[in-house]
Amino acid sequence: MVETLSERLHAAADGTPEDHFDPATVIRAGRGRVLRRRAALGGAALATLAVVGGVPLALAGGGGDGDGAPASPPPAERLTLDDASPAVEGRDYVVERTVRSADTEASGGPFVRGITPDGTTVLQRYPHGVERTQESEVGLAPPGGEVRWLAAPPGLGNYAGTAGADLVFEDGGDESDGSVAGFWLFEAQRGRWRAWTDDRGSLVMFDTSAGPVAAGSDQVLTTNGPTFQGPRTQLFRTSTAPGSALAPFATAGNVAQRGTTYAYTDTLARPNHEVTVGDLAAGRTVSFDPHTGDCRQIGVGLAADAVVVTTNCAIGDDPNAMTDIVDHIDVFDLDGRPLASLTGDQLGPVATSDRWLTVKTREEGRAGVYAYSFDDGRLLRLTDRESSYTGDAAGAGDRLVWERPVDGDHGVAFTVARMR
Amino acid sequence: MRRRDDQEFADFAVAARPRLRRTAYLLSGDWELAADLAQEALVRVYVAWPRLHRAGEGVHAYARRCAVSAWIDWTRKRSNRELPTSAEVLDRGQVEGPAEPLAVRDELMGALRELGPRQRACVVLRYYDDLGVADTARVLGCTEGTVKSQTAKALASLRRHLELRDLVAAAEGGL
Repeated sequence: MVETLSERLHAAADGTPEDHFDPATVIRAGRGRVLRRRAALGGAALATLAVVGGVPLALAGGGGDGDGAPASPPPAERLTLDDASPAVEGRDYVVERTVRSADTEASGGPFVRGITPDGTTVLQRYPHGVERTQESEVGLAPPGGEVRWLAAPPGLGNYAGTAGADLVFEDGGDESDGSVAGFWLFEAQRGRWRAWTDDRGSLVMFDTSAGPVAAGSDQVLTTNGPTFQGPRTQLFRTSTAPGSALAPFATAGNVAQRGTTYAYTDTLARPNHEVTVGDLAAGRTVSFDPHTGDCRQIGVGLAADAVVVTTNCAIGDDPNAMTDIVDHIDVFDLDGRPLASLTGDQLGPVATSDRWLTVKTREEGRAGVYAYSFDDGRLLRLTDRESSYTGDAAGAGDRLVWERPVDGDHGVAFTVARMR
Repeated sequence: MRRRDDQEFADFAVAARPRLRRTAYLLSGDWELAADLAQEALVRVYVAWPRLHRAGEGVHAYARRCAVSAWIDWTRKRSNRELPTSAEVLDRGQVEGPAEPLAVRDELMGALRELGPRQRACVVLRYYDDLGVADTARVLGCTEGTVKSQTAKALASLRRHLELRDLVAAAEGGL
C-alpha cells in the first residue's frame, strides 16, 4: 500500500496531547476584545482598521524590523517603550476622578467613554449587563461635579466626540465589524437626544474604521457609509445642524479632525504614501509622505500641533488580516516635519488628544498605558497594568483617562487626571 | 452576543477546536503554540460571529483562515528578533505518538520545519485540510498561481528527504 502525504500528515497530527479547553475562556476574551474595540472606536481615538484585533499571543520581536519595515524612516526622535519613565502622581499628573467598575460583565459598567473639550467626563453603563448593550445610560460629570445619568436611546454606542454644542454618539451598529448605522446627538443645552439626519432627512451614516467623527467644530468631516475594508472612502463636509447637506470633500483612508483642522491619509489598510493636513476655515492644505513604506496604514490622529500616523509593518500582505494593533507611531508637525517615532511590538489602541498621545500595550514586561507629550517629548508610563476589558477613551486638553484592571481583571478602574 | 448565541458559539468552538489545533500543530510544530493559535482563531471568530452569519461565510473556513493568519503573524514577529525559531519549537513540541514510528514522523516534521511559513501553509492546507488551490489561495490571501508555485517548491524541498520521496512523488502527481 502506498502511503500518501496526506495520510502521513494526519498520522503526525494524531498524537494530540490532551486539551483542557473551556469555551468560556474564548467567550470571555472575545467579549473583552469587543468591548475594548467598541470603546476604542469612540472619542477622538485614532482611526483604526478595527475589528479582529492583533495577535495577543506572548510574542517577542522588534516591530517593523522585518520585510515590511518603512523604506525610509523619518529622521525623527526614535523612542521605544523602554525610554518611558514611570509617571509620578503630583509631579506628572493630578487625579481628578476615579471610576471603578467591579466585575464589568455583571455590573455593566460604568465605562469612561471620553472627555469633552470643557472637561466633562462622559460615562456609559449598561443596567442589564454587557450582554444587553441595547439598553444603556449616559453619565455626564463636570470637573469636580457629580455624575448626572441620562436615559439613552436604544442601541446607543460610544461617545464619538463633540460637534459644536452637540455631543455625538455612535449608533450601536454592528459591534463585530465596526460599522455604525448612524449617530445620535445629545443637545446639551436642551437636554434632548435626536438622530443625526441630513437635508434629505436621511440618517448620516458613518464607518468608524475611517476615523472619529469630529472634535470641537460645528463643521464636520464624515464618511457616509461603510468603508470597512478600505482602502478609500468618500469624505463629506457637513454639520450637525438639522437639515445640513453633505458636500463631497475628498477621498481618503483614515481621517481625523480637531477643531477646524483635519488630517487624512490617502489609503486605509494598505501602504500609504500621502497625508494631507488642512484647515476648514482657512482652506489651506499641506500634503506629505510619512515614509511608512510598505507598512499597513492603520490610523491617523490629530493633536493641537501634531499629526500622528500609525502603521503595522508586521501584519504582512494578507488583505483579510485586520488589526488595531500597530508597531510604528510616527509623529509629525502640521507641515509634515517628523518629530518622533515610537516603535514596539504590540502598540495599541492609540488615542490622540490635544497635547498628549496615549498608547496601550500588552507586551510582556512592558504592559500598561503610556503617554507621550507633544509639547516636550516626555514619554511616561501611566500604569504597568493593562485591562483586557477596557477601551480607549480619549482625553481632551490636558486631561487624560486611562485604565487598570481590578478584581482579577474582571473589573476596571478608570483614572481621569490633569497632566502637568 | 446574546446568551443564546454564546451557546451556539460555544458548541461551534468545542467542535472546531481539535481540528484547528491539529492544523496549527502541523504549521508550528508545537502543541502549546498550536493551542494558542487555535484560541486566537476562535476569539476572532467570536468577535466576527454576527457578521459571519450575516455574510453567510463558512464559519469553519473563517476560523481556519484566522488560525493560519495568526500563525503567519507569529512567524513574522518572531523572525524579527528570535532566531532560531522552529527547531526549538518542534523539539519541545514532540509528544509520544501512537503506532506512527517516531523517526518517520520526525522526518516529516523536520522537513516541514525547513519550509518557509507560506510553503508550509500550502502543504498543510492542501494535503492535510484537503483544500483545493482556490480555497488555499483564499486562506492565504494570494493568487492561485502563488499557491501552485509555493506548493511545487515545498514538495521539491520535501523530496530531498529520503523517507518522503514516495509521498511527495504521489502528491506531485496531483498538482
